[in-house]
Amino acid sequence: MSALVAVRDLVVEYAARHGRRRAVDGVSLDIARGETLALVGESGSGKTSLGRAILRLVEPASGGVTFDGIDVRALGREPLRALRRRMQVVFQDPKASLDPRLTVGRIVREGIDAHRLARGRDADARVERLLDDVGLAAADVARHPHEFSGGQRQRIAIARALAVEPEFLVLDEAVSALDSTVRAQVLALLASLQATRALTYLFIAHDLAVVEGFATRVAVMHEGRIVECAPARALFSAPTHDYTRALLAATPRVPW
Amino acid sequence: MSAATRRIRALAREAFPDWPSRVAIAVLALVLLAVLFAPLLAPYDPNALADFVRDQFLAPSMHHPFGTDQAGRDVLSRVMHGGRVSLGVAALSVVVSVAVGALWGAVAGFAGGVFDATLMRVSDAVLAFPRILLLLLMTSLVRAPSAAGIALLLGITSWPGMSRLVRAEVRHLREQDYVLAARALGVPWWRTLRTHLLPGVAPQVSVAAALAFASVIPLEATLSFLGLGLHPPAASWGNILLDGADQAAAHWWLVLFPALAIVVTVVCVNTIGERLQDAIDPRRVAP
Repeated sequence: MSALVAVRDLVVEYAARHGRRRAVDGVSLDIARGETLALVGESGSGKTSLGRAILRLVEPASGGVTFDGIDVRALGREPLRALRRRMQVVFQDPKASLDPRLTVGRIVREGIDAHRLARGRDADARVERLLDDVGLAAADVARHPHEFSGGQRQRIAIARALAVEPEFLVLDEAVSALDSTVRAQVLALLASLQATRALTYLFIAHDLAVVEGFATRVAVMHEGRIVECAPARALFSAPTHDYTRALLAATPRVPW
Repeated sequence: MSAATRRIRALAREAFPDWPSRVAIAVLALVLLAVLFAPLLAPYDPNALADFVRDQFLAPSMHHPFGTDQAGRDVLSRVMHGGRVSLGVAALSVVVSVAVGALWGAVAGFAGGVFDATLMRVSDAVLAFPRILLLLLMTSLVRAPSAAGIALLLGITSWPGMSRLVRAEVRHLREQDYVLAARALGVPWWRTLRTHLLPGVAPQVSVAAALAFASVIPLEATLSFLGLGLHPPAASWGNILLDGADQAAAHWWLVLFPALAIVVTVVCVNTIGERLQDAIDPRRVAP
């Protein structure tokens, strides 16, 4: 198994009222090509910061991140911009992550235009295909985000991310805001997209129940550190760390 | 751009539901038409030197609704023509203020850090001077400024306020997830500024521009009244007021009508601006 993403001793700090607060405190992990690594922990545990540091949306204080052997932290502006095509993100709240003033077409096109992947009619066709891939209609290009339900909006955000044909997707609580039926539908979509497009996922969630059945491996994060990282089945049947046990005990076990 | 049109329509419906704002729009439209088409509509030549022994200081009547001044000129015609200068200068100054202020504020707010701090200290420094003092200082340096010159002076003394507003708004928008998503997509910063940030600040900027327009009309009048603005024969509402000031006790119409023109216009523009402000208030729930 070759690691697509390798994180070494990563530290992310934020300026706090007194000095600095460590959100990520020396994390190392590997994400293999094609797998879904779930990153689970309560809010404030540093999951989002870790995900953003991998994408270099926040600058880590120290440590290393490589993507397919490329040192992400060493990249200058243009090489980084080029690399962004290969790694994408879907945020938790599609209401906040879609510009309310733009049409769906323009939202999905944003990455296509930024990387000049297609122009004019080709770009239009591409957008329509993407919308179809995520279960929306081609006619939706002219509509605005507020005309859609939460689940549909998340599909738009997924289409936007897929538009640049990434290999790696950070799903930052991407289904957490959705109610359970819609969540199951979006998870099913993500699973099928992963199969057809050979995607690798970092699936960030605060809820272990969502992760079961979806993730290949699970990393449990607590106060900026990874306390346990194991194949999903092993972690659910035989958690080794106390915090994982506590988290599992707090999770209603619903068969997925 | 049908989406934009629809948005503007919805905003207009939402913004002007009550009669004061509709009256304000109607009155302002009337003023603007009268001023804009003054050369066609004005009953007399505003600068005609008539038989001023006969025509001097005529009280308002059917022939001269606003009366005549010491040179026998029709005050209504003068006010209509003066509005072209007053409103033109005000509009141009707002354009200058918005152009400089929005660019300054957007760059500062978007860049952040030292760059932001430097830009904002400069605008603070300009803001720290009372505007009227700054204007007095600058007008004393420029002899007999043209209308465009006055507009430029008014504009460059008002952009700091605009830049602060735009900066605050850009900083707020910059933290939105969709801006972060654009960064994650590898969208260049200038494109993000153009697609997400500037359209986002446009409503606030239009409101601020309306309010700035309202505030600059009396300011220009003040300058002209102090003799520091435009020089005759070019006449803004402030110049007309100045002309009539020493005769005001005996001939009230010389100051009442130009003053009314200023007040009515300012009140209307302010009313409209405030309604727009309410309509775009971010605390209100988005549709």
